[in-house]
Amino acid sequence: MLIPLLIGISIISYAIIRLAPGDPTKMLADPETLTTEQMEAMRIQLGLDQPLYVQYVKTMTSLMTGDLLSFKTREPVVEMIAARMPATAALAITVLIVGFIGGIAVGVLQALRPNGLADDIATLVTLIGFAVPTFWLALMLMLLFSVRLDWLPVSGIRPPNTSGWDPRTVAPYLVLPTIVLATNLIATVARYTRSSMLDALSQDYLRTARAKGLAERSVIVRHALRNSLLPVITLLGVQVPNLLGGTVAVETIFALPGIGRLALDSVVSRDYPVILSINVFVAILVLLGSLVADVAYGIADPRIRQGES
Amino acid sequence: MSIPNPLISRRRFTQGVAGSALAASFAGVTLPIADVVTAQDGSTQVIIGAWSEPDSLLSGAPHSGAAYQQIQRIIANGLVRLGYPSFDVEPDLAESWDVSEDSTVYTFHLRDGVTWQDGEPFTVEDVKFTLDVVTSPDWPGALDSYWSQVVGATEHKAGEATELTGARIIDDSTIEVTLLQPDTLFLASAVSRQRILPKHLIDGTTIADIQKSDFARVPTYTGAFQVTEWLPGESITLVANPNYWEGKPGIDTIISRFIPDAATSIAELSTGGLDIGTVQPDQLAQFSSDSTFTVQELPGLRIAYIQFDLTKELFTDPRIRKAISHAIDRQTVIDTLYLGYGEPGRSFIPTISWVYNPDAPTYPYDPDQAAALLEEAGWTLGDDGIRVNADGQRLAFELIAPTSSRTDGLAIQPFLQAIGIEVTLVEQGAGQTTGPLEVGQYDASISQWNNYIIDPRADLQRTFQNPRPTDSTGYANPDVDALFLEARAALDRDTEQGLWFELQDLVETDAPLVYLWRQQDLLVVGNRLTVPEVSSLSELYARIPEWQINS
Repeated sequence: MLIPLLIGISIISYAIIRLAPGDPTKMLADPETLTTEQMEAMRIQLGLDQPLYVQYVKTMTSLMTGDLLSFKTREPVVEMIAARMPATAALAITVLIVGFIGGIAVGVLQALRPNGLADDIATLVTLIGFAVPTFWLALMLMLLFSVRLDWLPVSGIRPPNTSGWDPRTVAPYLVLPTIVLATNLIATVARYTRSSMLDALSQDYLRTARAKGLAERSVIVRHALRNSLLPVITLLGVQVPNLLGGTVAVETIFALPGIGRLALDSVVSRDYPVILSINVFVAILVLLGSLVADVAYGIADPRIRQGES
Repeated sequence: MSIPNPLISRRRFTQGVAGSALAASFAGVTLPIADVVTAQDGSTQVIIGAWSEPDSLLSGAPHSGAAYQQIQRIIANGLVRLGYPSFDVEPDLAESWDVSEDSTVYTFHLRDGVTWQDGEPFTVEDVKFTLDVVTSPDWPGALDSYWSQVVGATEHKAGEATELTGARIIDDSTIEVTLLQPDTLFLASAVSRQRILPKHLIDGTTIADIQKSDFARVPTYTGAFQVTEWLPGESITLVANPNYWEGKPGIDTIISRFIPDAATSIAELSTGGLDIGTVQPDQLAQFSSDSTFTVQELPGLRIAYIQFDLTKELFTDPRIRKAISHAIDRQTVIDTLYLGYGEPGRSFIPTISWVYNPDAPTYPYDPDQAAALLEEAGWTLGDDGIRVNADGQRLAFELIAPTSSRTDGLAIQPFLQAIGIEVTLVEQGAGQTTGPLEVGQYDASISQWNNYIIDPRADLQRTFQNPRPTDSTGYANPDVDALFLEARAALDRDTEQGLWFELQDLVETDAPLVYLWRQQDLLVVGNRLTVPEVSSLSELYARIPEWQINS
């Protein structure tokens, strides 16, 4: 099922990319110095003179064999994405962990004392979390923590003139981007967890669990939380594309060398091979995200596991 | 002519979103400067910023990005280079050159004792190799009009010859290049722009492979600094070349960081994460009042102007264009929008150039004159304050403004309204930009052009000579075209200058463009770093080897 889905996604992506106005040859070379014939020669060199479906098939075939080259840098696209992968992966994984753990914790706390002061404050904060524009939050955090307090670096992924991925060196650089991206995720996860927990807490089986003498902690964690996590887990699959979309702005503002920034640069310069490859790559991640959500579903709810009912 | 200036357009794009908010928040903040200039081993290190990453560091490959423009002069050398401030050609790897009496044969005498950054000697073979490579059929992009002046270049590019026959090695330190006809632009526009490539490292490799190879990213040239590392999306590291023929540079390591967002650059600059950078006028006060920074105000090399689709009937009458020019109070706009850091635009080329004709016609602010010109052209004021002609056509048009020029557009609008011209501003974001506008696609647009590393004569040519590869304006004047050919074929500089002056007289009488202003470049330098007094940003980066860390 994954393969036909990916092919479908790649066809739609390619069609949309090509619907955008603009001619890569004009963005690549200096059109002021090229004659019409020379521009045409360049278009032929890039394969842009062929019918769209031929271009698509050729692009996809080269992508599969790893030979696809960027229009702009003439480097293999696979290598370009691989070089940008660590920064985005580090950021996305941190955000998912912080976002889900934080969101679930906040949601549970809210559900345990619904309409109490903590719930009201958390509701207000999560609403703000939804509403605040990413770039604004990013700049305000930068201003406070990097410029005024000088606690954290302004931008980048590691100190200049270093090239390793030592987590201790990279961590300070990830703090602000993580807060920016996780704020929205925490808010989303908390809203889902809260309502789902409230629902679970009013179910009969909880009364039964309490009646048979289980400790309150066990009632909440093993019975209520576990059951109310199902809709939250669904979020995992849905949040991956949101998260990767968010990296475009965050990686640009914090000058992180990730996929989001590569995507933006490629769109601006109409570097079709890179845009398509990133789309396919992100589609794979989203499908994997759904797969992980399905597996996690099974773990959370034994009834869903295959072979058991 | 309408190519969005790569050095500013996207920087402003993100700045438009975010910059003003942050800039406002910085006001009055005094900040510590992080100790980034001295690396742990005691060597000196300076960090500069560039908004975009180069596509490649292979000299001559098309479209090499803003970061490349900053470092290209210090990593590699050509036979000659453009000097500052007036863009005169000066020796580089060629210690001197002779030109034959008929101005068609250039004999370059190479500098002795130059080595590549890997220690190999630089030889005349490298020069011949480079000239052969850049005119070969596989070299990316087209043969530009300046190289095509060399004997055999067109044939070599077409695959009809195995080498560039017009480039001939005379002896170990002399090479001769023969042109089809005299071309005063040959040195400045062809030779100065191509760095010499190392034959011993890339001979025998196909050009497609060179582009993919490490050489295109971490090249070895003869320059003052060697590229040692390129982290994609992050930075390029340059290390001083101890054997550089002009002497070892003052700083051991230069790191060029790619920071796409202007607000982030300012934050880095304020905290010492960048040692040097440019700021917008409204951000300058924060730095000039802080003793940890020094500020230099440099004449801008960037001209903002209005261009028109001259094939549209409305704009065929030069009186309309002249009236528009007379209507705009440039100084007031500069004083309010750019806080005085700028000067009214007088010409497409910088006024410091020897080619600039100070006596060419200009159309400064004079609303009465503007109104008179429109009356004379048959446009009378209508009831709603907008002029109409005898056919009842309203004097109204759409003005396209890229996001980076939106405020310019807003500033111009009321001045034109005041003389009875209705302007509808159409903003165009960075993602919507699809290359230069072409005739038939628009009415008028605000554009910017950066006279950054190109000889001003080439700027004139690509803007006003007909035919042009991409025609944004439809401007054509056969007398101007004839003068271009004459000026390029001139045998001495006085004659050539006279011809360029005459050419500008003709162009400015036609007034195809309305020049707006040149915004100054405002340079902020952390005071641990000393940079020479320079005439432009372009010169600043060319003279990186002279930068010093204060002890």
